[in-house]
Amino acid sequence: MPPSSDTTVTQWQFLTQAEAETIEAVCERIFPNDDGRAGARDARVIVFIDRAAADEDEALRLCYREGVQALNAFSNDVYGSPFAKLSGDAADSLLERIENAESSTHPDVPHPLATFFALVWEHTIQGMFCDPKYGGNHDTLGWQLVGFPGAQWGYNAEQMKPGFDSTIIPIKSLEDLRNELRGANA
Amino acid sequence: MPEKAEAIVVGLGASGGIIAEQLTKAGMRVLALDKGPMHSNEEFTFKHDEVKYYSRGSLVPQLSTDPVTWRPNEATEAQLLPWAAGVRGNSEPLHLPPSIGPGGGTLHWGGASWRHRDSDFHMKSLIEERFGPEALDGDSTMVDWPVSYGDLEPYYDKVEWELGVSGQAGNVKGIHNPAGSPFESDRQREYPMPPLRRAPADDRFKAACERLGYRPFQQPAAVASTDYKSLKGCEYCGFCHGFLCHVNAKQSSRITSVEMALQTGNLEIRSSSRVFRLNRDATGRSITGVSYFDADGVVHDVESDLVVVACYALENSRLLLASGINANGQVGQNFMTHSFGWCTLVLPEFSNPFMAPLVAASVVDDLNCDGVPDNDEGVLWGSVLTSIPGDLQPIEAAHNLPPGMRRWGGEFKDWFSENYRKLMGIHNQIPSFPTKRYYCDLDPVVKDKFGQPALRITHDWSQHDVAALNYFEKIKRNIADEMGATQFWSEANPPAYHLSTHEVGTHRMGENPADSVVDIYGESHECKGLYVVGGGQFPTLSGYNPTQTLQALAYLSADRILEKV
Ligand SMILES: Cc1cc2nc3c(=O)[nH]c(=O)nc-3n(C[C@H](O)[C@H](O)[C@H](O)COP(=O)(O)OP(=O)(O)OC[C@H]3O[C@@H](n4cnc5c(N)ncnc54)[C@H](O)[C@@H]3O)c2cc1C
Ligand code: SF4
Repeated sequence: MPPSSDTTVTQWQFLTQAEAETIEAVCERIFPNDDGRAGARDARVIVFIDRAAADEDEALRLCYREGVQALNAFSNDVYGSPFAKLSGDAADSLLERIENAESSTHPDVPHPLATFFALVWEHTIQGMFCDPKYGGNHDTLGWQLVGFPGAQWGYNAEQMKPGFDSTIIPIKSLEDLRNELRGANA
Repeated sequence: MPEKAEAIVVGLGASGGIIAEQLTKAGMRVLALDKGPMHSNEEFTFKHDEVKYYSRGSLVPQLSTDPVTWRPNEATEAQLLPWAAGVRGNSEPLHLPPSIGPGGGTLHWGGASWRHRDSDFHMKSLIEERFGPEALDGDSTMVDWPVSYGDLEPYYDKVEWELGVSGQAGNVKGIHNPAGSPFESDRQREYPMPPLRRAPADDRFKAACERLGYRPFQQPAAVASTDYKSLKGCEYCGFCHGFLCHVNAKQSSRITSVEMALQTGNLEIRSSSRVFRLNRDATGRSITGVSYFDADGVVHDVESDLVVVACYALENSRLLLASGINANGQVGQNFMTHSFGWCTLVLPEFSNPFMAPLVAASVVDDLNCDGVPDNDEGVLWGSVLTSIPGDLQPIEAAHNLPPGMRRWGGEFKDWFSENYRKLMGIHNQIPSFPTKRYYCDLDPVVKDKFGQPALRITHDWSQHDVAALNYFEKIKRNIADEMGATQFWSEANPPAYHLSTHEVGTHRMGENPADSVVDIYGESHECKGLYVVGGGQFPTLSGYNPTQTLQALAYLSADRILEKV
């Protein structure tokens, strides 16, 4: 299954297709689309994660690889099926158990999972709100969701009045800024 | 034949840049060594990148290459800074040593630019007069400053006019202007630039503070409000604190002092050059040069009888210790830092916190210094209280959620998409007091990849810090209520971090060589020709940000080197 709703198949840089599906299922519980508004899957957070894993160090890659295995083992133990196949409620209750293990020692939660979940949380946030050049925040969906205009050269006095509705400012990414400068220099 | 230099400046940050500029302007040939990279114009222009600068902390030293360890007390084993090591993929760049490379901490600083008040120079006397000699605990090593506000005033003026600070003066030669600070000590003239435009939510903050009887005024800022010298007027882009400035509005030594030094033709900069040892003659009484690793790890020696070490308070003390320059045992002692008591508010209207620099803000200074009213909490010394209405991007915002709310799932998504645009912050800067208990030394175990020992920090928040944080939290909550905030929460007290980017005191200046490391000009008591400059010189930390004061001290050091004082 491709990581987002369109039909192109993603070429993964580091993840396997099965790993991508598991991690994306976690991302989608962190930032769900259960209200018709963009979630982690729509924003292609998993593409961000795949590239981050490829770009950063071995320890990070290991954390993903082992984390996926541990998560599926835990999920199989508790529900008899891998994580990506769980219902939303079942997935949430598993993640809650993992998250609680962060602050106390839960002998029933496998060790690397708390770190794994904390890492996926961190990267889901980054993948939702990064500049689109990182592969996440597809079509600036994350920025649109929260009303952030993205990479702007600046704001004027009118826009800086209290209560101003920033969603009327056209959103820009770094690529837009580059193109503007190229245009200006052409 | 080893290479020789007329003068060596190690570290081209806030203070090193100033000294390099003053020396080169006077005709000296200066070799500057900085361990960080020379950041390119391309990086400055396209700095609107939260993953690169916030999440990956690309401007700041990483714990993997520049390890620093911490322990709360001597009975505990030190570990790599736990609040910054965090989850893989986030290095928490705001609680690590400052950004590196020519420009140093002023590449990504916020630019709150403060003169101390007269009273900051007499903290110890004023506390003891008011609360009695027993008020400071038995381990206290607090002393008054060996220089006064009056000694530094010409240098504060120089920082403002040479480098560029915007603001509204409140007290020019004793003539008060109610639009400026009602509390500032006499200054000889106005700021060179008017105050910045304030961020959207600041009107509401200021009005609420006035209704509560405070006298808020605008934060003096090392951010240009108009074109000034090498600075351009701020564009209010909001990728400011923690980022480079794409228009050169933020006063960074990279574009002010370092640029001016380069223009003299007398400055040679070697970036990615990490000094690891300060070399002395056989008696140990005179400096002879430095040894450094280049980018490939190759060792180079350069000789000079004038070496200025300006690597920030932490690395300054580490270098002295690693070089064995610590005859009186005072290097690394008296570690001080700020706790912020960071509070977050949700406002009833859009605050658009992604606009404007951090310092397009207002300050309540009524409770700072000895102006803190008598109180039951036992607070001996106050702090500034500052609005933080701008400069907040979504990734950073998602790391500071109201306690008790689940950080993921539909509830989190709804909360964040509804409220990101309504956030603002208020914070203080509670100065920790110097004591025998809190200090830096060399970690006996942890080393960097060159085999050099890491700095180890022994520090915990004191009863006084916790009391002051509690005291000010009530004030901030009150202001938030008056502002009509719909939600309000505070960071943990005591905080998880022990570095605030305002570390000072670790190579204290003083007149007595027995109980201080450098003299008032920053020259080592122990080793002639060696200047060690920056916030490490401070005898006490004030409730204000430290940089304008350490910049002023750098001008004073340069005057001394050039034999003008
Ligand atoms: C996020 C952030 C926000 C801040 N905001 C404010 C603010 O609003 N107001 C304020 O007053 N202060 C602020 N500060 C603090 C300010 O940045 C510092 O006070 C100031 O930069 C310290 O100046 P310095 O000259 O001591 O060192 P730095 O400016 O830190 O410069 C040290 C230099 O030394 C170099 N160096 C370090 N070790 C070596 C070595 N071994 N060999 C060679 N070179 C070396 C570094 O690369 C760096 O360039 C902020 C800091 C941070 C990190
Ligand atoms: S807010 Fe102003 S000073 Fe800060 S980076 Fe943007 S333009 Fe520069």
